Amino acid sequence: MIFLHVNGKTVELNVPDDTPLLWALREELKLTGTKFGCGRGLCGACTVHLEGKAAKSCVLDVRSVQGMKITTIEGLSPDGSHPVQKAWNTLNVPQCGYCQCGQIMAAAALIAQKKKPTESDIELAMSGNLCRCGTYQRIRKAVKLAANNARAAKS
Amino acid sequence: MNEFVTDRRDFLKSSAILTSGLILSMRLPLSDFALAANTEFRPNAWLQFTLTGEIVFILDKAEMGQGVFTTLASIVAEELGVEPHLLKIRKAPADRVYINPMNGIQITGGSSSVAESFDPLRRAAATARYLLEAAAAKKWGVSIESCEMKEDRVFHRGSDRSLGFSALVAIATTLVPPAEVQLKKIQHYALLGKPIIPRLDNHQKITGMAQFGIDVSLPKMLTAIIVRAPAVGSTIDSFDATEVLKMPGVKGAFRVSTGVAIVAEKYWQLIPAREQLQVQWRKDPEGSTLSSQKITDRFRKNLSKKGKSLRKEGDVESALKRCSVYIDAEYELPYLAHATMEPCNFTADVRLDSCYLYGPTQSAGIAQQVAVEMTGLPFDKVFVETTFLGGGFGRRLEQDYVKEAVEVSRLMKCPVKVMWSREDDMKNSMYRPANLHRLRGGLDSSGELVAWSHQMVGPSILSQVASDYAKTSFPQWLPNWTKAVGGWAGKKSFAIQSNDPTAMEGAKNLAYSVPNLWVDYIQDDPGVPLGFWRSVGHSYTAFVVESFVDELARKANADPFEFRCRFLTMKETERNLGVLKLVAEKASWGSKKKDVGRGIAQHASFGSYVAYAVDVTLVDDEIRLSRVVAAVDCGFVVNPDGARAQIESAVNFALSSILKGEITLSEGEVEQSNFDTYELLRFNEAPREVEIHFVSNSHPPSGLGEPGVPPLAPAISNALFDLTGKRLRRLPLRLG
Repeated sequence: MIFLHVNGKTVELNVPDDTPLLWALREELKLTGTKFGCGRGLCGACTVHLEGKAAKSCVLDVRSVQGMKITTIEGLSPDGSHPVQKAWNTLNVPQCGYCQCGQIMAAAALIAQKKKPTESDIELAMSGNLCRCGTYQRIRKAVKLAANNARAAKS
Repeated sequence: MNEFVTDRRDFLKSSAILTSGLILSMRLPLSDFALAANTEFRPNAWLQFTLTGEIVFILDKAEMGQGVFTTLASIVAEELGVEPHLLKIRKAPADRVYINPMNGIQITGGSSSVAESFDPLRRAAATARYLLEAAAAKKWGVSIESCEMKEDRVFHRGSDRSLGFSALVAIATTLVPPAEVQLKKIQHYALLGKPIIPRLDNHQKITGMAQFGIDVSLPKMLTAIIVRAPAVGSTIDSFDATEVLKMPGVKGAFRVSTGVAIVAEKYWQLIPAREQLQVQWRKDPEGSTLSSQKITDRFRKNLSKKGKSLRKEGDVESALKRCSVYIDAEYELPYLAHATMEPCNFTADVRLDSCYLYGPTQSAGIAQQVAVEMTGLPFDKVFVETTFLGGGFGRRLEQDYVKEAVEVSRLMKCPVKVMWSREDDMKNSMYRPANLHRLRGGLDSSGELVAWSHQMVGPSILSQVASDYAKTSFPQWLPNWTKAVGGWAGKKSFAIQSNDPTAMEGAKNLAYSVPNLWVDYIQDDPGVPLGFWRSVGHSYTAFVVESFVDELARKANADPFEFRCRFLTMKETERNLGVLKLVAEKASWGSKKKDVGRGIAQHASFGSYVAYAVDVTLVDDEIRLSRVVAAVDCGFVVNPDGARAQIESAVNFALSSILKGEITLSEGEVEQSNFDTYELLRFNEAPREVEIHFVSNSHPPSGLGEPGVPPLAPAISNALFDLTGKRLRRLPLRLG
């Protein structure tokens, strides 16, 4: 048995040790916000938070993340109110939307760590997330907007 | 444009009264698949009004990021006089009433959604509004003009009275729709013509609630993968699934049309299970020796064939003899994968007396047709639910992955979701064709463009895929065998006659005026599966044409912008000239910067016109786009924010095929398998900004799904020449 700590709850899963976390989330816990894009950590659609840091769930097996705090898009906020989600809405970032949960998780992890991310910080944090529809320009603006709003809310 | 689009002059005329297209707008879909609860009033196939005051909009276009969910709903909202977020949006079922007039099939593609839906949706909404106001007028015994619908009630201007839908729908259904209905004038638009923010599907997509095909889950559903032939043309000789069947959760492993299917409870069980499958493949003698080099050599050899003449004006050979500037150039384009972020998947639930299909498709109509054919069920028992698409780009027009789901579900006698891994998706796709071009052309001693010969060798998409489209466009009542014959004949006709209109689109209707113009198509198919890729023929013809005209300009020591302007002289190319001039102005064309190359290009496709002016630099020998300026003419811009997003999308999408990955073959196999070998543009490689300017005019709205893609590649290649003096005639652009 595998015990995972997901979005604030502990869950017990009857899956093999080497099951990718991505599929445990999607198929066992029915948390389908985290997406499958490549299975090899190359596209970022599967990005979740592991102890608050961005991680690619398709290349993590469930055994290696036992006991760690896992957050998925569903747990980022109860209602889309995280500063990153709000910025994404304000600037109309999503097109098809398939990559966007991964993008949002990557961005949220970045602004949790860096209150005033530089262009270079943003590029480093976001370049692991592919977008085929081409929302990169809006993502860049939205990350900055989210960081500003998060700082303003704190002060 | 279809018969319902107004004459261009009428579009902005003060009295925008149109015939109501009564027959089209009154028909309803045959099935109740998308019928909302408590629906009492259904004036047409796109609107439902419920007793509880809800307005339901039936969206008959697939939402794949292009924004139809928002823009089409907003068109309806405008005429109804309501805020778009108040509409409840449901996806349309597969039904003939939703046929796209462009091609007689229920399809989302060809950059046609806004262009084709604009008038019908306005009319449908205006008619519904009229009927509700008329119902109130009848109930109160007042004039219709004094009644006004606002949100979910109708108000009487002369008094304090108002009524909700529940009081009106019963009357509204008895009224005859007017033959003519007044549409809102553009100067009274509250929504359209202004950026529509936020998109109506943002919340779902930002919170993870949006359902894509891959997220579909049904009771008792199983999941399957299919192990397909690695090389073109290979078939199964034998296979051994003994070890597979021992794996946990596996319910079956058996042969299907496209390979060996393995079915289990969960996808995570299939990942190790597929490793246990042993297959002996029988190689096809020709297919298994295909390589990119062989394909190039074969295309080049076929340039000497006569082919089919698509344009033959004047005498190019004689004209070339008197050219003082003369160029003979060969260009080459590779196969390309769509690489949607959501890999192929589809879910089918085939029962004895009905069939339910769920998934990401751009054509519910064709999916329904293929399921009818495969199951023998009648049309009114085959239901298609289109989910959100995690990218389309034309890949989701194809039915290969739909057919697999129907086949496996039928065999398993339960709902089955067929999943594709990224490797499956990359290696077993239906690609944008590769082709080889020979351009010969020149200027006479006075600098006039006098000769242009364009030959292309390459395969035809329609000669491979036409049968499903043809069969779907036939009357439904025809027996399956008749349609099969007709479909086959349609496909064969393209193969035999070399008359695929997409093959040299963008080259055949050359924008530049030249008295001696020959365009020839030498159809040759190496056998790699083909599909429609965003902008189709234009995706390669624009690169070739806009590179060649640039080469001529440069050789004549002319400015590339001015040179193009000189030869865009036809009435039909006024709008090409318009975007070219606008982009040159906005990009301050003519000013030079150190270590920056500048390039320009224009191209018309799918009814719209786009020009780019780009700045290119080299950073550690890597090509970087440091500035990109776009000028766009798509007529009336219905949703400026959505239109901007389409151009931003086209730039980033096209950059992958300009600077990053291509599909190559070796020993009959596609060599690329994932994003390490087929690279897409990454965040840090994308330009920081895309500057976009729209031409303001009174033309009806035309599409933007594809038109932003074609002109970017030549603009960048032209800029690279400006910077380095190197002319690259192949994509992706590779220096050294």
